[in-house]
Amino acid sequence: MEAALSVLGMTRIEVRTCSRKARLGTAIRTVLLSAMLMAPALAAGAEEAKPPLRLCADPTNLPFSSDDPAKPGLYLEIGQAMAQKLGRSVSTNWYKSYFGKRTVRETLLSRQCDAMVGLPLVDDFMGPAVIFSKPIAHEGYALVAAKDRKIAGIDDLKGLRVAVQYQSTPQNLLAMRDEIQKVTVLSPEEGMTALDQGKVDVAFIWAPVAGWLNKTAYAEKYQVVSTEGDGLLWPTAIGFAKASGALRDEVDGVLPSLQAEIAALFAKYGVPNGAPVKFGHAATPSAGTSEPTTVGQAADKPVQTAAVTGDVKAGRETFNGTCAHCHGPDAVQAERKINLRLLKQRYADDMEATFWKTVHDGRPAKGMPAWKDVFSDDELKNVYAYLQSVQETGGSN
Amino acid sequence: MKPRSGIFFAGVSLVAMLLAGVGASSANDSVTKAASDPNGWAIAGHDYGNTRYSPLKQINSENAGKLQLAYSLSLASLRSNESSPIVIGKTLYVSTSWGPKYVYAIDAATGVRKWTWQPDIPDDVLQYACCDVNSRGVSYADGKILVGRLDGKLSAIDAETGKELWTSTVVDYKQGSVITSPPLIVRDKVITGFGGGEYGVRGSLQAFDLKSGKLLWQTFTVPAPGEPGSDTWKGDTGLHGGGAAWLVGSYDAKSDTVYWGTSNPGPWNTGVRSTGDGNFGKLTNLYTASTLAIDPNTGKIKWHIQGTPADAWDYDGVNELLLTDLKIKGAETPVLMKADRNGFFFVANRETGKVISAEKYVFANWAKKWDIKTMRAEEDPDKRPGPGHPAKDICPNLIGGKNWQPMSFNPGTGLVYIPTNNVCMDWSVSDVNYKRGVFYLGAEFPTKEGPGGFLGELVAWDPVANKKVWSIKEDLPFNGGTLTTGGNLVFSGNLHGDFRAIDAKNGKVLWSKNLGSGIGAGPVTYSVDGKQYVAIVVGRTASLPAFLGDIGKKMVAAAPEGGSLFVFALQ
Repeated sequence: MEAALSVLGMTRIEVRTCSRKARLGTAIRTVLLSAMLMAPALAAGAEEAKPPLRLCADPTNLPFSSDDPAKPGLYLEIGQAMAQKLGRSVSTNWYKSYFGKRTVRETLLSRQCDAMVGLPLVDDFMGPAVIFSKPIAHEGYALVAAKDRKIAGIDDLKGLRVAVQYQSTPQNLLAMRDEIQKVTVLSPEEGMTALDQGKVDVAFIWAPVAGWLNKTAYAEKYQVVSTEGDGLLWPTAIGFAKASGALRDEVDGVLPSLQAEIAALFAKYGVPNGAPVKFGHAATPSAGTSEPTTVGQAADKPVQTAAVTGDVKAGRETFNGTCAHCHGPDAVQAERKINLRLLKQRYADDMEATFWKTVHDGRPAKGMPAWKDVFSDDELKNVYAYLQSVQETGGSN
Repeated sequence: MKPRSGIFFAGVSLVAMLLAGVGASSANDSVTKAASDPNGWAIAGHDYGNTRYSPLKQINSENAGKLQLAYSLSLASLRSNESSPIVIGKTLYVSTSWGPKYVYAIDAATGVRKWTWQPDIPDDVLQYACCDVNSRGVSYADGKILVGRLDGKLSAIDAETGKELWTSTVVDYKQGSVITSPPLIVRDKVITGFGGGEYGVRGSLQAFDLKSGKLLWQTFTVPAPGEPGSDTWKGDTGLHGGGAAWLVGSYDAKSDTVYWGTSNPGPWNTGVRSTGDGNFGKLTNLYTASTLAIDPNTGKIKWHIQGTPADAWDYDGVNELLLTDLKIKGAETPVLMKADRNGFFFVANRETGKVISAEKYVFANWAKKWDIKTMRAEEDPDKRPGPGHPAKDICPNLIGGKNWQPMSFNPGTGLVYIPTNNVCMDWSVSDVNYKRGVFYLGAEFPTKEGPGGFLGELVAWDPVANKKVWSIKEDLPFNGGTLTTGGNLVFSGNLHGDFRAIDAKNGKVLWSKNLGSGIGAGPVTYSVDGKQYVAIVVGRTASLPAFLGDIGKKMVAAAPEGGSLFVFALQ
């Protein structure tokens, strides 16, 4: 519920900066509504609405983060919990994190966001440019296998087929061990598939994803044994740009009160955060991932997928009154990137889902505001119907 | 044909021209015809042999000081503009960075635009592309312009109208594979590779039908388990072994052979795919860091030369093969030449694959020499990083003695003009760890300046005597490609944006103009209605400096980002 309040708080700011006139009535209604709903928060001490806490996150990287509101991911939920403690709402800047340091450079260090949850607390991680909160957890690699298999150390892997991720510490670690048959996989997903299909006996893969998949796709069928050692386990923290020392201190101030919540979130996503097994040492493996604490279902509403019926004429009116400001009257637009007549060509079957996501949440980095609290879904449905009626057709192989 | 007679062509384009129309063994007739027009610039590398030599000499070492701007064109796309324009008849075609974001067709004499093509490049390509959003140009054949794209696609456009004719998917860019270089067209086949050697791909070349865009063949650059050569890999590692062919190919019509260089093997840790030290025996990781000779009809690999067996330094073997004929020990010899990233300049007989010489053209200390008898380098064991064995002060560093920026060969001077780098590195294999969504990367490769107080050098290299004839030292690495002409000139830009006309015989700078952003691209020249023009694309790199620490910072500080085409002519 408080998360919903935060979203409204953010919307108010965006509506204010909007130069439209036609929809001012709606905007005012929204402002009033959000002010009303925010009253309890105001009474609790915040004298005025603080700007939203801007988080940078990968839109397609579960269990850590995702732009699917039904499954925001561990890092985003931690960010939301943290922001709530700080009396701030959350906005998200999406950027895929295939190249970790570049992602940090292009987002956090380019002032596209205030914080990034889940950076490794390592002294030489990007030098002094990035500063960190206190650690929130430990993350690393895990051995995944059937629950009855003993995997307490490297010797237990002798003679077995072991999935290792390409260019990873486990791959390096086992490289010179000819008695272990390595099967190279590109991702933890592929490692879990190989395990499930019986192509390997053990998967030595990235623990958070292994735990998440074990919980969501494999009904906790496997044991996920965290490992530790050089390059196998790291403390994880929240990262900030060097200039954000004050914010970092604020976050450090509220972290102790969030520990229980953070632990519950790790459990919710099946991400191991328990005591790891020292790899190479004999030790009793834990029975599974960290204790699965029961946490309520995500309260967010599911992705909107309104039926494709709508009033084209009304939609056009709305479009030309508002959207045309950037996208051109009747959606005629020479700049290809914002030419909405190409939506069908570009997104094909994903056109509708993309429309709702973009219109609801906006693309703040590109100047597209979020409209979900300005227009009703019925009004937006009309806009969609109008856009459908003006799609260009084109062919390619 | 006398290579030093100078006036006409570098070897291969003449060979190609003479063979045009012979039939099955000929190249694409339209390409051959365009490449044999002394006024044009038909292929990114000028001709099938990538010589970047034009016989034009209206602009020459006597009058180069009088060069003036004829026109310029904003490319409307910043950073990493690396395109070599091509000129067919009176039309110049140039691609921009970011996908390309645009391909322009302009009147080559005036710059007036004929058409603009704008492909739908997904917003997130930079998030997958390893080494920036570059496009190195387009190709021409049979009235079509062919474009390789960052999103892993290949498009054909009508050269007259700019209308898209077909688009085919070559590779899924979301696996970290992008296309940044123009394809090679031989007869009805459009041949292209793709990048991404570090990220678990298995490299391949593929040919698409020029008319329809249908896939005709695909040849993996790394053999699958059980295939010949697969025993050069440990376990199943070849299946993710890299060997991406991401730069440009060359073609020899006489032997009907396509040549292409392949990237480094993956992963970086040699212990995973080889022995982890210099005693790698047969675990050489074929055919990575190699030159491949390929039958264009079938894609079959005819032979190979592996420049860096069991590579441990990221010495891609992708650098372009320059084809010409050299007089070696009295005999006219059909050769291919490669300034390898590993610091050795390879000259080989392009018909037999026999290596004639492999000598250091930059400061290199990872190997004492490269033995053409054993086809192996005599390595310095201290300089080979491996598991538990970090190595320090390795030269060259991972950008190589020469990177993608093209060299040129002038049959008049007999010299190759190479934009070289003088940078060294430390390397520790266990530090490297690239994974999706994971920030635990460890240290970057510490970069160090090479000896001598300079970081780059334009080297005029005698490929027969294997010696440097003259050079121009640069304070930064990663400078622009070169063009050389029948007018006794070399043209080359640097990261400061200085674009220069240089005397091809002695290295004297005859003319220089700062163009406002760093230059990586190679210049081109052409003639329209009796007037010669020199064209250069500017717009400095942005992603690469991030790998190079303090040197990278200097590269970024040297000039702003940019994106323009400049065209010069005599007053």
